[in-house]
Parts: sequence; C-alpha cells; structure tokens
Amino acid sequence: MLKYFKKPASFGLAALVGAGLALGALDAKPAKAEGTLVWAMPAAMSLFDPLQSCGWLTKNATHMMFDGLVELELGKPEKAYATLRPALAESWTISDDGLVYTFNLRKGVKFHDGSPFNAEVASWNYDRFLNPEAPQFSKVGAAFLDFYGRWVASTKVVDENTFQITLSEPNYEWLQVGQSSCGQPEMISPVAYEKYGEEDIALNPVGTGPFKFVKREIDVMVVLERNDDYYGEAPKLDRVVFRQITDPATRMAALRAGEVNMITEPTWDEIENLVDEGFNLSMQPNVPSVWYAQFNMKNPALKDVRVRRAINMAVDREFIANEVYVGTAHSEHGILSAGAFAYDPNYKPYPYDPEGAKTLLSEAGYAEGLELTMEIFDYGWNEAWEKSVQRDLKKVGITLKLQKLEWMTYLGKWLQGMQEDIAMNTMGWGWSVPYWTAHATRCDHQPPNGINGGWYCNEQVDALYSKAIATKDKNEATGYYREANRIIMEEDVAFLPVFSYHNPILLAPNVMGFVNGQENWYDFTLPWVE
Amino acid sequence: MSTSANSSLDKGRRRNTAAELRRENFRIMIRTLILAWHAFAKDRAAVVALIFLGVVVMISIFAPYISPYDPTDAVAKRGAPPGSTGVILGADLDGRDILSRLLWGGRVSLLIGVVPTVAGTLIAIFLGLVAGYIGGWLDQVIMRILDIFFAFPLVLMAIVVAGILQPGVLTIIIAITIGLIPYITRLVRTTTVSVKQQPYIEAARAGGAPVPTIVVRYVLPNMLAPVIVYSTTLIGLMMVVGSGLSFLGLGVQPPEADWGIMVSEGRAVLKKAPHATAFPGLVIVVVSLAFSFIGDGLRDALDPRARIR
Amino acid sequence: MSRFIAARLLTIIPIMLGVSFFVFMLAHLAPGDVTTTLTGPYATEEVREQIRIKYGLNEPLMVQYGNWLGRVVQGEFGKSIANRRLVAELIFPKFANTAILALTSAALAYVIGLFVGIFAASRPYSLFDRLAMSGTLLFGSIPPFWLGLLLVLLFSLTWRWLPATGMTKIIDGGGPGDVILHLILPTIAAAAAPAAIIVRTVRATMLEILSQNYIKVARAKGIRRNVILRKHALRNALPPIATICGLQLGYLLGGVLFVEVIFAWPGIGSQLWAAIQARDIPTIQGASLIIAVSFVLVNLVVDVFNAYTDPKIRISEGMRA
Repeated sequence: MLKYFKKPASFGLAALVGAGLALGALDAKPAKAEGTLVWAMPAAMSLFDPLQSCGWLTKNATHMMFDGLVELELGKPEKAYATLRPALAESWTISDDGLVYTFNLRKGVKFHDGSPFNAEVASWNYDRFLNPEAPQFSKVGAAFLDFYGRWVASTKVVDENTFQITLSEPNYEWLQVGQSSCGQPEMISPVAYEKYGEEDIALNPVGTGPFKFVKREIDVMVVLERNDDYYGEAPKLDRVVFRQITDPATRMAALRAGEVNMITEPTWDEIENLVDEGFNLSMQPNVPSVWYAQFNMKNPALKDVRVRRAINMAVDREFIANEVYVGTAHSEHGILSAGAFAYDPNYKPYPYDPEGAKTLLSEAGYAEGLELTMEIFDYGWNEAWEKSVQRDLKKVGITLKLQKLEWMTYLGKWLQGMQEDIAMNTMGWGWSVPYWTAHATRCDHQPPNGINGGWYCNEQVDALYSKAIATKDKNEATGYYREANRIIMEEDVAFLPVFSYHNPILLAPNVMGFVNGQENWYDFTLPWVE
Repeated sequence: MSTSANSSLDKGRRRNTAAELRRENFRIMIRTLILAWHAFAKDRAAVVALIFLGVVVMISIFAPYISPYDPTDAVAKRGAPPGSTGVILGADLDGRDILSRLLWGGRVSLLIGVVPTVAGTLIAIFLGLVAGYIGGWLDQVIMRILDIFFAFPLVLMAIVVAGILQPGVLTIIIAITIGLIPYITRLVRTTTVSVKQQPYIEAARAGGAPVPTIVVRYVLPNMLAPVIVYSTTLIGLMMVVGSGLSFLGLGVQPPEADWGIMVSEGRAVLKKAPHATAFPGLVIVVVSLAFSFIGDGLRDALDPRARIR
Repeated sequence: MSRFIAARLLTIIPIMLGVSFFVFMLAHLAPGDVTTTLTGPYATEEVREQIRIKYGLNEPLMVQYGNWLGRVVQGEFGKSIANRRLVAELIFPKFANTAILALTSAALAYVIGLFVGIFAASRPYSLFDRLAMSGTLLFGSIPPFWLGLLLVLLFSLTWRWLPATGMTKIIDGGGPGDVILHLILPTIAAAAAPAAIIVRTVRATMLEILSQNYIKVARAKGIRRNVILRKHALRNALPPIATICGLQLGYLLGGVLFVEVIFAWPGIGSQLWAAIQARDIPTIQGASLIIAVSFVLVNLVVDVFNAYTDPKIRISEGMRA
C-alpha cells in the first residue's frame, strides 16, 4: 500500500507546486488593465435599487450608476462642506414661498439600456416611493425614503423636460437631504423595470450614471465600467472594482502586494509605514459625520444632569483623536458635525477636566462610583475609541460596561430606543446638511417614528429646527442650529460627542486625481490609474 | 493492565476472598500506575512538558497576585517595545502591559483548550464505547444523531450559539464541546469495534464476565491510546480554534485578554509593534506543543509495548 | 458490501432532516430579524410586518420549515432575503471554492501526515523522529490566521512569488493556473493543523502495531522492514488512520473559514457567516444543508473504506469476511 502512496502523491504534489511556480514566473506581477481602480472594501454592499440601498459603502456604487435630479459636488475638497450641483436637472428654481421646486431637465439623456429619460420618467420614479396607487410603487422604498418623501405634497410633469415637486411646508434643506446614503431618490429605467420586475430590478441596475453595472459576485466583488455615453464629464477610469476584504490585515497585504490599489479603514498605526513604503495618504477633515454616544434620558443614573456633564468632562477627546486615531480624526464637542454648514470648529463647551468631573459626580451623590452600561456594535475599529472612553470614565469612578452586540441585533435595538437599564448607545453618522440632528433629537422622532433612541425631548429645540429649515438665509439657519446645539449640549446634555473621522485612504502611487471629498463616499469620475 | 490476575484459583473459596480480591486489584492498579509513571518519565520531553505546563497552570492560577498590572489598564506608551520602563515584554497598541495580559489571558486560553476537550472526551468515550461494543441499532442511532451534530461546522455552531447567548468565553466552550463530541466519538467507536474482535475479548465473554466489566476492564484500556493522544493534541488545537473564534468576534470581548485575541489584535500592526503578536503567538505555540509532548508520553505510559528499540 | 452502502445512503435522508431542522430552529433563536435592514431606519412596524408576511416570516416555525422543505425536495432552494439572488446560485459556486481549498488542504495534510508519521514510527526516538514531530507540531500549533499572515509576509510581500489574496486575479484572472497559484498559501495555512494531527495519530498507531507480536514474528522471520510496514503494519493501522483522515477533511470543510477570511477566499464559510449576520434564513439553510451533505458523504466514504480494508469491521457489520 505504501508504494501506491509514495510515487503518485509526491509526484503529484511536486507537479502541482512546480506548475504553479512556473505559471507564476511567466507573469510575475498581476497585470493591470489600463485604468482600473480596485478598491478593497471592509464590508458588504446592500441592494442596488436606489430606493432601498443603504450604507456609505453601497452609496459608492449606486451614486455612480444612478443619478438624481441633483447631486453633491465632491470634487472641491478645499471647501468646508459639499454643495449641490446639477445632475439630471440642468437648473432648478424654488418659488418664493419655498414650496414649489421646478426642475429643468437635461435633454437627450439615455439610460444604460438606451431608453430615454424625461419628465415622465422622473415622475414615474418619484411615484415609486410617493404614490401608493402606482403599479411600480414600492412599500419598502417608501419606508426607506420616508425622511425625504414626507415633505412632498405632490409632483407634476409640466412638459417633456420640466418636472415640478411641491412640498407641504418649506424646507430649504430638503433637496440636499436627498443626498444621504440610506434611500436615494435616483432614477432607474422604467423599461428595465418592466423587463425584470420589482423582484429582480436590484440585480440588474440600469441608471443614467457615469458608470455601468458589469457584474457582482455577492460578498466578493462588484465591477462597474465607464459609461461612454454619459451626458456629463465622462470618467477617466475604464473600470472600478469594489472588492470585499473584511479583514484589515488582509486589506493591507492586498495593497502591498499590488492586488488592490486603494484601501479605506487601514489600521491607523500602519499608516506611517504604508506612507513610507510609497503609498499616498488622502484625508478629508470635513467629513459630515460625528461619532457619538447618546444618553438615555430614561436611565435612572443619568437623570441627573450633573452626571451627564461629568461624563462629557471626563472624556479626553484630544487623546482619542490624536493618539488613538493617530491624527486621522478630530475631536467633536457638539452634535453639529463638520462638513455641513452651521458647524463651529471652536465650540468646546467641555474642556477635558477629570477633576471637575469627579467633583460633579460626588455632588450628584456618586462619590463611591457608578456603574453604567453602553451598548456598542461589532465593528472592528470602533473598539478603540470606546475602550478609551471606558478608561477615561474609570479614572473618575465610573465603571462603563461595554455590551457588544452583533450588528443586526444592535441595529434592531438602536431603532427601538434604549431600555431603561442601558445608559448609552453609539452611532456615527451625519448628513451634508445639519438637519440630520433633528432626526436624533426631535420629540416627535422618538421610536418608532425616528431614531431619537435616547428619548430626548425639548420643544424649544424642535421649534429652533423648524425655524432653521424654513429660512432661505443660511446665516439665520446657522444661528438657530447653533442655539439648538447649545441647548442640547449645555443645558440638557443629551449626548457625548466624541470625534469625527477623516476617512484616511491609502492609494497606490499609480492612482492619480483621486479626491477625498466632504462625504463618506467618493466621486470615481475624477481619478485615473497610470 | 489488560488482564486481571486472579490470585485465587479455588473457585470454592471465591466468596470469602472477595475483599482480598479487591485489595489485590487495588495493589495491581497502584503497581500499574507506578509502571506507567516510569514509562512516562523515560520520555524526557514529556516530563519537561509536564513540568512546564504545571508551571504555566500555577502562574495562571496565581495571575491576580503576580501580574504587575491590571491587564486592561493603559500603563505605557502605545506600542512600547519590550524593555521600556515598566513593561518587560512591551505594551500593545492600547498601551496595556503585554506580560500582564499574557498572565491573565492564560487563564482564559487554558480554559478554552482544556474544558471542552476533557468534557468532550469523557462524553465521547461513553458514547463511543456503547455504540462500538453493543452495536446494532443502538450504534446506528447514536452515530446518526451524532452525524447531525457532526454535519455542523464547529464555526457555525459557535456563531449561532453566540447569537443566542452573548458572545463570550462560555459560548465558545459550549460550542467547542458540542463540536468535538462527534469527532472523538467516531474515533472511540472505530477503535472499540476493532478491539472487540480481539481474542481476549472473546475469552472474557466466554468466561462469563458481565458486559460493563468487559467494556471497562478490557475494551477501554486498549482503545485509550489513540484517543488520549488525539485528545491531548486537541487541547492545543482547541486553544487555537478558540482564538480563531475570538478573532471572529465571538469569544473573549475587549478589553479582556486571552492569547488568541492578543494575536488577532496584534496582526494588523505587525510592522509597527511586532511584539504585540509575537509573544502571545509564541506562547500559544509552546503551550500547545507541551500538551502534545505530554500526549506522546502518555501513550508510552499506557502502552509499554509501544517502545521498540 | 453494497447493501451496507445502500443502507448508509438511506440514512442520509433522516440526517438531512435533522440537520436542516436543527439549523432552522437555531437560526430563529438568534435575536433580530432581517426586516430591519430590509426596510431601513424610518420604516414603521407596519411596513416591517408587511415584509414579514410577504416572506412568510410570521407563520409558525414548523409551517415555515415545512414550506422550505417542500421546496427543497423539488430542488428549489429559494431566494436570499438579503440580496434577492437565488440561494442555489449563491451557495453552489462558493461551496465549490471551499471544496477545492478543503480537498487540497486535506490532500496535503494526508501526504505529509502519512509520510512523516510512518517514517517517524519506523525510526522512533531518532533525530528524524524528534525533528519531524516537533516540526509538524510547531506548524500545527500556530493559529491559522497567524500562519496565513506569516506566509503572506514572506511569499507575497517580501519575495513576490505568490499572491496574497483571493482565488483569482481580479483583473483578467481566471483559469486553472491562476487558481493554483492562489491556492498554494491558503492550503498550507489550512493544512498545518490537520497535518499535525495526522502525523501524530499515524505515528502512535503505527508504533502500537509495530509492537505487536505478529510484527515481531515477521521480523524474526527476516522479512524486510518495508514489507513489514506495508503489508502487515499499515493494513492494521488503516482503520484509525482513515478515520482521522476523514475527520480532518470534515473539519476542514468548515474550519477553512478562518483561512477564507484571511485570504479573502470566496468560500461558503464566509458566505454562511455573512448570512448569519444578516439573518438571511434561506441562505443559512441552503449553505448548512450543502455542508452537511458533504460531511455525511465523507463519513460514508471513510466507513466504506474502513469496512473494505478491515475484515474485523466487515464481520461486525454483518458482511461477509
């Protein structure tokens, strides 16, 4: 029997290895087709139906395949925040009462399948989430787009190239609110919808965007290619490949091995080394999102505002931004994020003061110490700041128990609002307009009507929000938002804002022209690969 | 060990010497154990490994007293190299003392390695003996039920268990135990079936010994060798599997320490702070090796005929 | 023999039932459900209810299970709730990828295990024995995710011989040569631990057998060592060795998950992991079923092999000797 084993097996093994090495020698480096950008992504993307696709990662693909009436200008990174620019609408006007938006649509635009885009098609697409009577209506889409659709009273096709949307009340941020990443009012081809139906349209995305869908292997990769018939500035890249590599060390290995040429979410401590090895670091200080912990106003220990103030004073945000995240983040002290107007970079109501925190805590009766529980979700790099907060609180006598939940479980709980025994939970998000704070703080946005899971309620603040969106004047709105921020942070102390991440991206040296814009997704029409 | 010396050939006097018999058997057992120890001790590597493990276990038990710092406290500069002030083995990326984390982490890692393997082996020996010796429909039933669990990748089991109970050390222990049982049982059963055919089993049966006696005195000792070797190697491997589960986020939760999560956390900063991964990795490997050497020695001890010169 | 095989094949059915039922129940015990991500943060409970009704998630568990079973029997695995793809389209290719990795790793482990184990057993306590045992043990004790990292550091980043990630080149990849290249490092990382187990078991079993009387007799008769090893010792050592080998293949089918994650190998382990995280029941069921079927078949092959080579087992199973 041994004889049988010896020869074929060892020969086979040698042959296998030999063949592999020989083939490897034949083409020593993986050859890159001209102009293909391969990006290693940390997680999976969701569905490619613009109404239902959700998440920063997915948005990278969907906003390249689909267009809306307007879009964000992500090619001017030096500005403090991104603003809107025309997309399928060449221009638009807003009536004086702020209710009627008239969009003048581009002429001659075609979908990737060749079918035409016009006002009828725009209306058909808006009906998908606004009009329950329409056959193409999607309940799920409507649910996702509720934050945008709830402002719309009606839509109207004025003529072949003019589309009108009427709001129920003025909201000067509404148009830009539509530029968020969970549910987007973007256009798909009705012809494709007829062909594939509601069930399969997400598997066959057909939009008007600068890139076309090529293929998708679930949990492996998504491939897009340039749309040469794009109405605007055609992309320079031939193809973009979004490759899923969940493990950060593997991502960096792939970058170093030349198998991908762009990675996000590197381990911060390796950034220095990677830069030394010749990779380019790209960062954006004005990313519109804050990582925060929201206080549960129903939690007994937190009912005393001194405790909440003490927590804010006890956390060393600068350490987190500069040491833990080695300068790829900056501290945040209020609920308003950078990357949107109304942000005040100098707003620092709670300088780091652990002694003061201890004093406050003993005044509140917790000189012996206090135990709190914070729900957190399972996402690698968050642990760093959460652990830092845990250590800071320990120094002032608060034992913070971190209750880690797996993402789905966490999301469900986050949306339901915190139970009494939980003191805080965390999230990091934001929009390119400040109205997102309303979703986390309005009285009428408590679960199940919104995501104010800390059960915070202050009618003064709500009134300020309503005034802010009703005015065209950005300066006036800024005043309202900052006042609301002040009340939330200094009077009611409803949050523990911690930091805002600069989205460090590492690029291979042959990637040129990449812009890290003021959002959590990127414009792939700009870069090219040499 | 495999035969019972019946010192009294007088069948007539059997009843009166029951106590004598018991004493005799006890003496035989002691003698066998001493012989086993001598055999074990001849394998120097095994003895060294045993001593080493003993030390490791002692250190783990007394970790709270000898650990220089609290394993979750940041006590040094982040990523401080070994030999920096206060941290002999350096600090990890959060500034925590690696030595302290190794000491405290040892308790968890050893637990994850030992408990499921021992528990699983005991259960498996019982199930495998029954299935292998009795055979028939009972055998089929047991093995088919085990096949259901066997058809579960260990990892799937752990993932789902962690979804119901919270992720944690207990989760991993339960999941690994359940996952191990089918593997070891199969081995026990196969070996039992093989042993069952041996002539001395026939002889024992012919001699009228009751089934449990046959199983425990004749079958069990003869099938233990491969099982024990397998199990001791498994301890080390289960430590590694446990660390893999922690790597997936199912096991020890930060900021707690175990060797596996230390390796996992350190992977991403291999260039910047290689000691953060290297030390716990080395420890896992060495301890795992120690268990394996002990397994070797045990095999020698249990089956002296195995040593041929 | 054929009756034995047929009888065992029949038992696959109740096992499949047991597995799928067990997985189904366990998966439903996990908190949270898929409607959360399907409907977004602003969806009302009403909308979520409607989605649940649409996918039949509200029916009693037994009914849901029965429906699923009915469809599977007709070959329909249903659609993934999370991404709308046909489950069959999702899992079969991924399973093939995992099988390739698992089989190659098992083969490598068998080869190393048998060679080193037999050789070590034939020269026990020699330098080779010690070195070989320590060497395989060393590699087998390194956690696979660490071993993978070291391999990549060496072979992909320092000497640019082998690729670091994936199953094929991303651009213009594909083809057997490409896959083989990408297979090498993950296989080594995955095979290390099973190889260690097999080496040790082979050595232990062989040593024990080589100490038996009939071996001594054979040696006294003057039969050459190789012949002894092959004809007498190995034959008797086969049952436990084959069992362990089968067990390792079984373990690898699931255990390659760690290697899959490290090397971004598109296998069924990571697919299952993702499905569990998304609470995508149809995919969880489908993937578990495939893995289970393969396990059972592997066991069957091992049992048949054992019965074939070991007359004692044949007798005990009621076959002709």
